[in-house]
Amino acid sequence: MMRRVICPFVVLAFVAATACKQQAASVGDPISTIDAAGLDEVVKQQHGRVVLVDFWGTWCGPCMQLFPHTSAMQRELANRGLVVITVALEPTAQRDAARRALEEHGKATKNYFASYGLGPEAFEAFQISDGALPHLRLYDRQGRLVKTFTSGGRSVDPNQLRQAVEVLLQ
Amino acid sequence: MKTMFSLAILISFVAGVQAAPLKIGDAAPNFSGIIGIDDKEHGLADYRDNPVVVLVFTCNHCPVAKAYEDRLVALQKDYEAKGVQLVAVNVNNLPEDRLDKMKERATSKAFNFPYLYDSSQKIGRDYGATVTPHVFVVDKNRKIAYMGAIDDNMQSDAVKKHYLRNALDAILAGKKPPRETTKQFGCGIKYE
Repeated sequence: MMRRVICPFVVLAFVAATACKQQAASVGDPISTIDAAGLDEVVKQQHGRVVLVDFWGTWCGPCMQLFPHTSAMQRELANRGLVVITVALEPTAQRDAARRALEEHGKATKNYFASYGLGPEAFEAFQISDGALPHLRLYDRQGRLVKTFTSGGRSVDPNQLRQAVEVLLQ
Repeated sequence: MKTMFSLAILISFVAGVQAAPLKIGDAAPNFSGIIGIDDKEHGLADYRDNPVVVLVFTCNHCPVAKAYEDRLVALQKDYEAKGVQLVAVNVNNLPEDRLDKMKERATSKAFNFPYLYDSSQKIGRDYGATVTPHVFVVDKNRKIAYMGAIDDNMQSDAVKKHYLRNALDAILAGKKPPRETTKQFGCGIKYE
């Protein structure tokens, strides 16, 4: 009897988990985790749109400075075909801090947590060679990687970022 | 035209110097005259009696570097008797990374190793350090034997792979580290 009761819940949980994996939740919902292959797939699914992937973390000061700018770009340029995808590289125990930041800045963007936690594996998998954030990748409407923005220990210039996005949206 | 050609050679030379990262087995870049929190000058030669030197680029302001401080203190304590000497170096020049703040930090965290400050950032460039923390292990022949991360997780209770400790155990046993390089990660060093 117990097994019969449990089974529907197991199925429901599985369906919910599967649905959760397939689409980034908006803030307020659980935020999906994503690995490098999953991110490639999500970028491919945006075919026809310009994609900006923003790797960030709450521990990274320059990332937090940049976040309002990428968020504003998504709000202002979505109707011209921009999709901003954020991937948080965050220690598992600090994900609540990332959720709070996303409540403020991530309402318009597609948001994920890197599935690796915060260690070398995440930077290797996402091929962030200098091991530092922020790190942003810009893809054109054909899904080709056009430009990578790395920090060099400083914030990425939001004006340069916006100019590069505008060029691809034309 | 000649000037442009010379300029091109100069640019490629400078770029080449900066773009040539250290490899395993390379001679460890020498350093000397670097001020420490003890107000004395330090250099690689000071540690000539240590079979292994662990050079850790770190700083005060970076949350990732801070998360590793207790682990560095524990590592020095555990490996000191085996002749390992950890040397922490800061090359960032943010107000909170200056020498007086380094002294405060070292006292509050009970650092049991030298903590050096190179405001010229030369040592960081020589080693190709990109982030804090970024580790370089120098063996008894003063060659680079391990480079990269301390372990596999900023969150200490989630660590599964102790890359630096595993490398030290291997080097002290006269063997190659199981992984000679791992991907360093943390806060980008602010080169000027």
